[in-house]
Amino acid sequence: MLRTTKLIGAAALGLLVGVGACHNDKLLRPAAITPVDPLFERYVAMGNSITAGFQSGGINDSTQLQSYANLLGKQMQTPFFMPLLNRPGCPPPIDTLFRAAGPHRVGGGTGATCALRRAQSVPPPWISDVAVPSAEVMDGTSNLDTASNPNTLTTLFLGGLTQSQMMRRANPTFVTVWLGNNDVLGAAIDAANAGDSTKVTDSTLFANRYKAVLDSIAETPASGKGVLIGVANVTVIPFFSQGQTYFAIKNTTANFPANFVVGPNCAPSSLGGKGDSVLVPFQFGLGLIGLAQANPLNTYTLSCTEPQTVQPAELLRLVRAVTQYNATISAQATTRGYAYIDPNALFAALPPGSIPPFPTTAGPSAVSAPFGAFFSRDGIHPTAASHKLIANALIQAVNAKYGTTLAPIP
Amino acid sequence: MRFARYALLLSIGVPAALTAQGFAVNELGTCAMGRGGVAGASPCADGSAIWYNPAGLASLAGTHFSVGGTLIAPHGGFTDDLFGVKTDMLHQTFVVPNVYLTHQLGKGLGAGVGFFAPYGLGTKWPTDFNGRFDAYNTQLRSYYIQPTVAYQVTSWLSLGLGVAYIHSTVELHQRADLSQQLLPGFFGLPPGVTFATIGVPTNTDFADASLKASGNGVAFNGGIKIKVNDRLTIGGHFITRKTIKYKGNATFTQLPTGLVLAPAPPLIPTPVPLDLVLASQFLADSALSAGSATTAITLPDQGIIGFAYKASDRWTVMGDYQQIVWGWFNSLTIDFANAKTPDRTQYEGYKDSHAVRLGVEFQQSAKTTIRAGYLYHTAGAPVQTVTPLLPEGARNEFTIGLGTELSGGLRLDAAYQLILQQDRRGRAGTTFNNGLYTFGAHLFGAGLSYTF
Repeated sequence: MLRTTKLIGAAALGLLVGVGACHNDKLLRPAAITPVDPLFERYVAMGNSITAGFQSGGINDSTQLQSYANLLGKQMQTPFFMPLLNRPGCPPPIDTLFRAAGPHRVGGGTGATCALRRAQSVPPPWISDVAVPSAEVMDGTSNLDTASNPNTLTTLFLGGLTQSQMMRRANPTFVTVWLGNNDVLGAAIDAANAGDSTKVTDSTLFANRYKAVLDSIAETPASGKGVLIGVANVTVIPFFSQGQTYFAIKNTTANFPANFVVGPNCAPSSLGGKGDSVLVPFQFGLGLIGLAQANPLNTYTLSCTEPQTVQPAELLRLVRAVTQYNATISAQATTRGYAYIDPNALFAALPPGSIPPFPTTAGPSAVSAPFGAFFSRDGIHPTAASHKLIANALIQAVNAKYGTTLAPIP
Repeated sequence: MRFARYALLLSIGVPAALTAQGFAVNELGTCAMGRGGVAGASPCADGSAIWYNPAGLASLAGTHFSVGGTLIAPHGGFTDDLFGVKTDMLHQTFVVPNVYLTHQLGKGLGAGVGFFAPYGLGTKWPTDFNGRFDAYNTQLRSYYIQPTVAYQVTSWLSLGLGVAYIHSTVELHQRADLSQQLLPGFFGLPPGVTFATIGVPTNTDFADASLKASGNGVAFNGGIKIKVNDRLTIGGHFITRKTIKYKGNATFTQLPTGLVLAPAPPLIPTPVPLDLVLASQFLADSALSAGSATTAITLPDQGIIGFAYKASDRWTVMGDYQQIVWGWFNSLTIDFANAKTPDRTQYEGYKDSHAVRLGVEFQQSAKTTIRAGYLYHTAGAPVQTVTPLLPEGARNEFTIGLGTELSGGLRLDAAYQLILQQDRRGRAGTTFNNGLYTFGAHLFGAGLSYTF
């Protein structure tokens, strides 16, 4: 009997040893992508060219990663997947704007060059930055409507989905929405008729379309969790110079060629002109100067009544549209529980001279920063420095609204 | 249009193991199941020696007929690393049958025939699980019919040999991810560009594929039993591997993606409804048209060596060591008869698995026997190939059982087995391990045996 007991004891011991050999593997989530707050488990950014990371008239995997959305995602420590493009880009960003032969792009490409999406060895499970350059609010929910503005990047980033559909695939817990800039920008920078009021999206249509975007978010865990970003005042970007700036340069310096004339209607209103309420796109104004330099025997005149300039009434219409849009966005943020930030306050707070009234066309700065430190070589899109500024403003707004502790970007 | 990567779809591998190493099943007799599957040296008297050790038939007096089954209720899931979201396997229950008939032809000479299923079972996952592109519904069945003879060579040595005819079926269902397919040429893009390159999101289902195939083969199962003394017996068996060549049909069903590429000249002059573009690939004589396919899976050789020690009139303790030679299962090739569907070879890289089984039997009365057992075995799948097809790992298993005589010659056995698989890292929908598989199962066995 004693022997039996020993055997049973040995068997029991063996059993215990076996159980003790149990080894369970563990879940492995890299610390770098473990969100600092559950609110940021899955962050999706909707928007247009700024959110996508478009700079200097182009976009590639370098500019994409400089986007405020990507910077914010990093501070959140959330998995943030961008639809990265191959180098040199689609189209490649401009690396030298002012050249006799015209702007030069990265890799020598043209505005039609497109290097497609980068093949990623680990395919992104979803896209976090669903923004598409040229997108208006309409494009948030439709690519095929007659009012939509699809382009090559719509396909490359969304592959047949809309921003809302791609956003829902990510099942986000937090969103940022920065749509609406192109609802006025397209009108403002129209090459044939800058400031064309007929191309400004009607404010009622804008409101309805914006609500449709927010309704699509309401179907996700991110409902009421995120930041709505107001529309930028496109009339203050360095893409434009006031007519009076041309007038002042012409009449106080010798920087312009002698055969380039600035009409008296470009004088400030105090001198009987309207140059303080007329915006001249740099491509138009500098284009005339370029013609004057190339043809010294001819005279070229900048008139502040040209359709290629933004006229005072058009300027008012643009500014009024931005105000109306932002009233809508702000009200929706309040109603739906989102944080709201006005990007115009950011740029207004920059030190004087941060946004140059006239592009630098000569010297090293003409290559490195013709529109200053905060706008890239197209005079429209923010630089990496601006993206950091925007990301930090978002961080402040998010922390204030949701009580989180996102660290600012140094 | 080329769908080279689509062939991955039918790189079927094998279905998930539910009860033992790799996709082997050892619960082929209720009596043995109750004692942790230990039967190498002392097979039960229900005819299951045909599987566990054919030599055991030599000393089995009279005629025995037994029928039984093991009901398997697995549960498990996959938890992804990023979000800790768990996807549960769909609930299924399986019944693994066993039927044995033995007869003593003369003194020390026994024969019999058995019907059992030592390899198989399957897995089912929801069709929104990321692993659906590896497999979402996999079934493998392998049925053995094994005539067996055994002879007691001396008072202490018995030998047995069975020849098993095998019939095996395999069924696999997978989804295909459009983003991983090669683009048609008409977009004017360079060759080798995938739909992902033009933005089609990862995990876009566009086809459902299935393969149903079957094959046959023969294996040999030999056993030896040595009676060391009145208390101690040692023995074991070895069954040869058989590579089953499966022939069957592969079918592909188009799934709507709803994707319409927005116009973007010059790349895309007009809107492109992708479903219309893809539809042509499912027509007859296209890359994804239905057709025959073949593959081969090796049902590996395995061996057991064990002992049984009669500690007293009422107590018997026993143990087995088992090795299954999964090393043969290194890769898997699918050969599509349709020349437009490229063949595919998938790395599996299995390694041999090892099990230690311990069992104890207590003769509670002349009619009733109580059993218990424990076993531990290692995994066959290496860390690189733990997938929804086979989310397998090392396991601890515990068993209890009871056998009782109902009436003259009629005996009922019942057993329960708890499987606790160690949590194992694996992959689902990726080429790297991206989460944790958990698995467990409850097994219930019941069998009736009659001795003439």
